[in-house]
Amino acid sequence: MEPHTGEVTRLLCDLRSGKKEAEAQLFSLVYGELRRIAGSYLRRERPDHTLQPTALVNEAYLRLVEQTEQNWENRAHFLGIGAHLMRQILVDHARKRQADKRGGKKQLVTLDGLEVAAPGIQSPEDLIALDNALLKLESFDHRQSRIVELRFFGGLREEEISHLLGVSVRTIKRDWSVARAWLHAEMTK
Amino acid sequence: MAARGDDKIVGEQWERVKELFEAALDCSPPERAEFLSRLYGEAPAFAEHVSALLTSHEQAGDFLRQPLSFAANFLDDLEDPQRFAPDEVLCNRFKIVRLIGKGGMGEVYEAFDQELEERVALKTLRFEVSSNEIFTARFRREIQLARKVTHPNVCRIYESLRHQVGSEAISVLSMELLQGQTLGEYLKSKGRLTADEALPLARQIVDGLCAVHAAGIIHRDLKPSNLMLVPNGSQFQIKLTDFGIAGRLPENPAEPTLTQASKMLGTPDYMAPEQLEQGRATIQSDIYALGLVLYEMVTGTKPFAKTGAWKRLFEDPCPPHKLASDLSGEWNKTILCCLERTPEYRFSNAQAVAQSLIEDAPRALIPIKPLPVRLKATARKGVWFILTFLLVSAALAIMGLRYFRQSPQVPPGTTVLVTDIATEDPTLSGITVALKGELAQSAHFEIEEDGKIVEVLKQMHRRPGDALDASTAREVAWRSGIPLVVSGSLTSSGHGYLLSMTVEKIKYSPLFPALKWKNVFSAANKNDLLDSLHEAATWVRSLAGEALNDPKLDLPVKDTTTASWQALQFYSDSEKRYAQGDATAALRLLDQALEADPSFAKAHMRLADILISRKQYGKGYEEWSKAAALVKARTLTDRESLRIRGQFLEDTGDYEGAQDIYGKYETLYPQDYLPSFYRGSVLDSMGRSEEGLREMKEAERKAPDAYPPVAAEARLDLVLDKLHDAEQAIRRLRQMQHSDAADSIEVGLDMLREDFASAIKALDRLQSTSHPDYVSASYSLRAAFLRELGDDKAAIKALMDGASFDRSTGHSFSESDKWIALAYIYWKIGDAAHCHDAALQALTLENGPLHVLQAGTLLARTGFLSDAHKALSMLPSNTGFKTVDRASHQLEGEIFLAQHKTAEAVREMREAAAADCASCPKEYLARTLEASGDKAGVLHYYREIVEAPARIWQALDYQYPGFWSDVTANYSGLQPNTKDPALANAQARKAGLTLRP
Repeated sequence: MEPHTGEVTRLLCDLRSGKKEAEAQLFSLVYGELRRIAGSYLRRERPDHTLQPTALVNEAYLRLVEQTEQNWENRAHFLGIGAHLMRQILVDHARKRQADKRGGKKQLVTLDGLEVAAPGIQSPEDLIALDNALLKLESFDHRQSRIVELRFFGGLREEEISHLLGVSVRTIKRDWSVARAWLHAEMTK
Repeated sequence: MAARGDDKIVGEQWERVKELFEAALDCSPPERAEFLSRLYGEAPAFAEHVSALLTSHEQAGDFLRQPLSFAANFLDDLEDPQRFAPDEVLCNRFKIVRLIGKGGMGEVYEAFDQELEERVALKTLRFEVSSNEIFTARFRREIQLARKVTHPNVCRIYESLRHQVGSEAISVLSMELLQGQTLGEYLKSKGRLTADEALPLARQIVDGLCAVHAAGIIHRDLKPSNLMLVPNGSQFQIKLTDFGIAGRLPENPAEPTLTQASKMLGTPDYMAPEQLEQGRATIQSDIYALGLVLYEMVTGTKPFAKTGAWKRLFEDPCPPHKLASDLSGEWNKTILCCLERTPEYRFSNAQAVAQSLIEDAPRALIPIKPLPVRLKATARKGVWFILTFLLVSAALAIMGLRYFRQSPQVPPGTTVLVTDIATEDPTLSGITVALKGELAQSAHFEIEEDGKIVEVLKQMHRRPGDALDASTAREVAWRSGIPLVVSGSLTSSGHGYLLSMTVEKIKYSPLFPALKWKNVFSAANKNDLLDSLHEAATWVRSLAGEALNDPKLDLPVKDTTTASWQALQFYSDSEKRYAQGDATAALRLLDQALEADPSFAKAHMRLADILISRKQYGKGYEEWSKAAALVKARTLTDRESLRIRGQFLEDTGDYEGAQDIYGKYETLYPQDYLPSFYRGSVLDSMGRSEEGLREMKEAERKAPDAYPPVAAEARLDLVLDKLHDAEQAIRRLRQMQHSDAADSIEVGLDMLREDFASAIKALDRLQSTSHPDYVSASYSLRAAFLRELGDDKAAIKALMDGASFDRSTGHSFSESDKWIALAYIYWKIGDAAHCHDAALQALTLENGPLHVLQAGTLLARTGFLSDAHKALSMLPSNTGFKTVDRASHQLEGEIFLAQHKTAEAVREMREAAAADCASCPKEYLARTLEASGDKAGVLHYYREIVEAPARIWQALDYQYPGFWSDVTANYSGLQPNTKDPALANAQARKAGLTLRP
């Protein structure tokens, strides 16, 4: 079901003013849209066939938020949500993929090998491992986990993250380095 | 680090580790080692963690450095694996040969139809899609339509079936099997095509698209990969595929495809702007896609290749002939016309596109409406209409060419000018009223107020009552900075009516021909004419850029005004007479309008409006009630009704109700400053002045050129003791060329600052200004000013002069005010006789509740009880309106007080106070409590007034002259506590109120 554009704006406002319920509602609205766009992006005739999450979330933003309501604050919040959702979408499917493989469904069409999506993340298994690691990180440093999510899945820049989370850019940079190191260690265990 | 599984370091310690890590990283490598060894000495636990992190950091390399960008193939794993294997049989009929590829919503197989003994393409819908009811319903409908299309350029759809797989049922579609390549692939190999090569392909695409449209289907996803090129001898035959939501054939089996329902929307790359924005797909959006395909064919690139899909919402494409220099003018123009951002400017059908490519003649740029169905029936007459259309379009095409790419779209909140629709038939003279009623619904633009038009006409030395014809309108618009002028003419013929509407964009001086957009609407009879009018208004609104997706703002003429032409005519005449200053005639005509249509709510409201402005409250409120009853039956949302309703509720003291209406008004018309403006003043009346100030500033933000919010802000600033801000606001008013308003507020500011010389200057300026309303006010202001400063005689003189002035200009309302003020002064100085005369004089001039109350009060206070009773009887009873109720109670209270019936007096006064607005002074209650001996209560109400001189002085002419000083004197007399700060302040201020020589 297509969300009404005004609805998304309203929810964003609610979210900004601290209403937590808005988050859940926004997620479900945006999720559907992101999935749609994710798919349609793949049909682009781009030689490299790669997909930037930010472009995707940007597009979702444009489609979901009314022209007159678009301001950078809304956008920043939206991107923040988008990042989280991108992560969810990808990880969900990675997990599903794993389940299928384990279930041994017939695959009659073999696909080419995966292209490298990112150094260190070569397969659905890697993505799941990252997600697990992030969940663990979240348990004792929520902010770091969020920063990784925003940066890696959302493609937000440090200034944008700084603004969204309300911490200095320096703190963001520091947390990011630490998180990266920690996650790497965790994943290569 | 996490190698020590139980080593959970959290909270502050973790923060410390992070800090140390950062510090370590900041060091150069040699320093780092030193840092670490020191750390090991001091805090070995931390050191372990930091060291582990550092090691990871070094080994991490590029891990997570870049944001995730995933390869398409990766996501392809998101798809379900192929469902059917070769040789499997579906529906007992189709034997799978092989998988051709994955379509958006399922897969496409080559199969052998055992019944028809033919190879077909078989499309399967994914289960999740199949089980979605809404989706399948739409899908089925599309299939039904698509099956009817038998055209050589459209891929045939044969059957739609359902196939059981265990407990699931999936939908299966059989279609023509096509062998060949897609246009996309072809273009990739050839680069670009010449116009000669492209033309035959284009014509086939158009033919196919026309066939699809004729069947009632919108393709929604036209693009090169959906156009198959089937070899046909030495040429190609084009086949349109994948239209509607029937699915797609893949371009390349190895290429991955997408998930689920996104297919419904199509690829952003080829979507029209309105599709992207609103999800609306129409024939026009298909035309847009067609334009993109043509573009790609002849230039080899896509117009918005480098930027995101959303850029097309704001930007124009690079003209194709810039990229392909040998491209003819026709092709260039045709493609650009297809790619117009506004759907209405594109070709209205695909065939027109093809014709435009072939023909030499430039295409007319007016959106021509297809002929209404009813006229098609009479072929010969139809021809006549077609000829007219063509003539009109040819003529305008020449003009249109020159201004090819200008747009009449205006930003939200723009003012437009609507002229009188010229008509020879007097019974249809109300059509302008009906049109304005229609257009007034728009939340996108505002219609210029008649009052302002009159002012400009005066500047142009024209008579205000003159009809506003097109050329005058252009000049008025130009002078007022209005960009759009809407005009029209209504002609009748034997076959009905033709309403010709023109929208002009005024850019340069009226000497330059304006950019014109024209459209013609026909109607067979008067009844249908109202519908045509509605269409015309809709056309104007969408031309101006309105999105038009709110049904609340799209009421038909019957609801916004009336369906009776007679009533409209009377209403229209009434407006004209009112504009000429003849209110009596206007009232009479409105009565006639209501005779013609008693349910003409707007006429009731207008009647109420005029009556109330003439202070005929009784009848006015009656009319309002009638209108309200009518309105309750249907929700009238046009701007004017909301405004009147809100103002009425405000006038009658129902502030909560007024707030509601203004809130609604604001939601429907977010660009309009008036609701914020009105709300601000209502909030102030409710005692919430800070909020009121905020609203007022909001109003200013919405309409930076409007002076009323600035003036209101200045007053609120005074009330809230923000004198500096008030000064700024006053200065802004002067900059906006409203120095009269500025002067009248400045008097209050000067009094608060004890700069009486400046106040006098302001008063002098006001007295000699050209605007009689302000001159009249200057006398009242001066009188109040003088009396605050203790000069009764001079105050009386000022009021007398003022009364003469008002008499000479026929301002009976203002004159009555001055007599009330005089009566007050006479009462204060003990001159009962003169007070009596003045009060009665006031009553003969005006008999509205406010005047009755004030005059009656003074009559009671000076002992003229029978006259006071007479005044009381002049008040309408049981109106249910707060202001009137308050007046009744208050006057009764005064009379009881004069009769020394203190208990009853107090009771009445308390009722009055309860009905009064929160921020209004309750001196009447105080006086009564004083008589009853309740000193504490008295002091409270007096103190309220004493502490806030600004409340009185920001509108000196609205209170009794010298009111503040009088109350302060009373207060001083009653307050036993000489240390009371309010008392001290007030006395200090009072002492300052003297005119130094």
